[in-house]
Amino acid sequence: MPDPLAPLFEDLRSRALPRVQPPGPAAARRTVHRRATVRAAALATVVMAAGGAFIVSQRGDGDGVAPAAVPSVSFSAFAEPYVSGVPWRGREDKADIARGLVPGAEQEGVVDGSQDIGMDLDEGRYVLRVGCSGPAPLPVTILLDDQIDQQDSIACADSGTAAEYEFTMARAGSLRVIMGSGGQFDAYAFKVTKK
Amino acid sequence: MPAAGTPADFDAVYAAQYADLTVQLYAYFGDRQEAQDVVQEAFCRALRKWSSVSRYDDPVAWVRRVAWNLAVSRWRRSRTALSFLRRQRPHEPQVEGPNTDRIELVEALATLPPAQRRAMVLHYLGDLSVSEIAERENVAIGTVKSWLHRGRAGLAVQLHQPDQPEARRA
Repeated sequence: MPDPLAPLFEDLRSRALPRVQPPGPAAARRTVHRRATVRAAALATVVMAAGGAFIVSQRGDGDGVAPAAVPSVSFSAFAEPYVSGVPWRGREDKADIARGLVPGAEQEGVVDGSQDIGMDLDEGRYVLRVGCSGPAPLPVTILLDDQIDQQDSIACADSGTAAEYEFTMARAGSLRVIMGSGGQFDAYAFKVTKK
Repeated sequence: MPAAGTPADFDAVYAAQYADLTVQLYAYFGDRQEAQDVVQEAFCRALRKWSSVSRYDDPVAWVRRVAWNLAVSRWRRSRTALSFLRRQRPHEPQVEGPNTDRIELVEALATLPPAQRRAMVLHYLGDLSVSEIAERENVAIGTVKSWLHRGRAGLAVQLHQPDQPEARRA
């Protein structure tokens, strides 16, 4: 005796098959490729986050933005290996050279990635003096209350270069100085002086 | 099936199997889009490791197994979510959605318990024998026979057909 359900399932198959719209093997390849890219990006993010945490821990600075009142970091820190894993470049005494260009420097360090340094200032006119020593031009961006005020690239050299920037705080607010990753391994020092 | 020692071509396997697998899972889910998504996901997972999957004796069996595992997981998740929503909104009126292309058999299958439904679909649409289903489900052959028997009885009631207990092939 024939199975009465068999023709029903055959009917289901014959009616459903034409309505199936395969996305296609090319779509599968795109999905696999996209997922591989996302995994790689996620891995890179984890590595960068770990690197950032390492830098912060090396600086002894919890929020990633160094307040002006914090004493300068020890220069012995400059001998530490950096997270980028790229060999140290520039003169061994580049930190001393940069500091020597900015008497009474409030902030100093070596660029590894990018540096974002902030402080609060009262209303008034100021001069920011930046000294650097290292292998690459040092991009500098000055933000007042998180608005870009000035951008420049200091022609940094091993022998040392200094630049000054004047700016005005219309009212009490924040100053941020961002030294870009283009200046990788440049030693820098800077000081803000009220005129 | 590739010749012995010759890796299966992904595009060929996809072209030959995608629609069949989708129909099987459609019968299980009752939702064609859900079925298509699951089968596509199974092929994506196969593609990721195609260098090894393509050398299996039966790459299609691997894809089918992954697709069914995904289907069962999704069905359980959606059932849990549906149950939760029903508990949260006990007095909300139920509104029938558009079902112009619903097939009576699919609706009847939806009334069966999952194991019976799976056995019926694998047997009638996947063309698997009782012993193959038993191996896939990791149960005794007698259990599969019981599922099929009850499944047929359940469908007969739903479809107002005489019960037919004989399996097509065992």
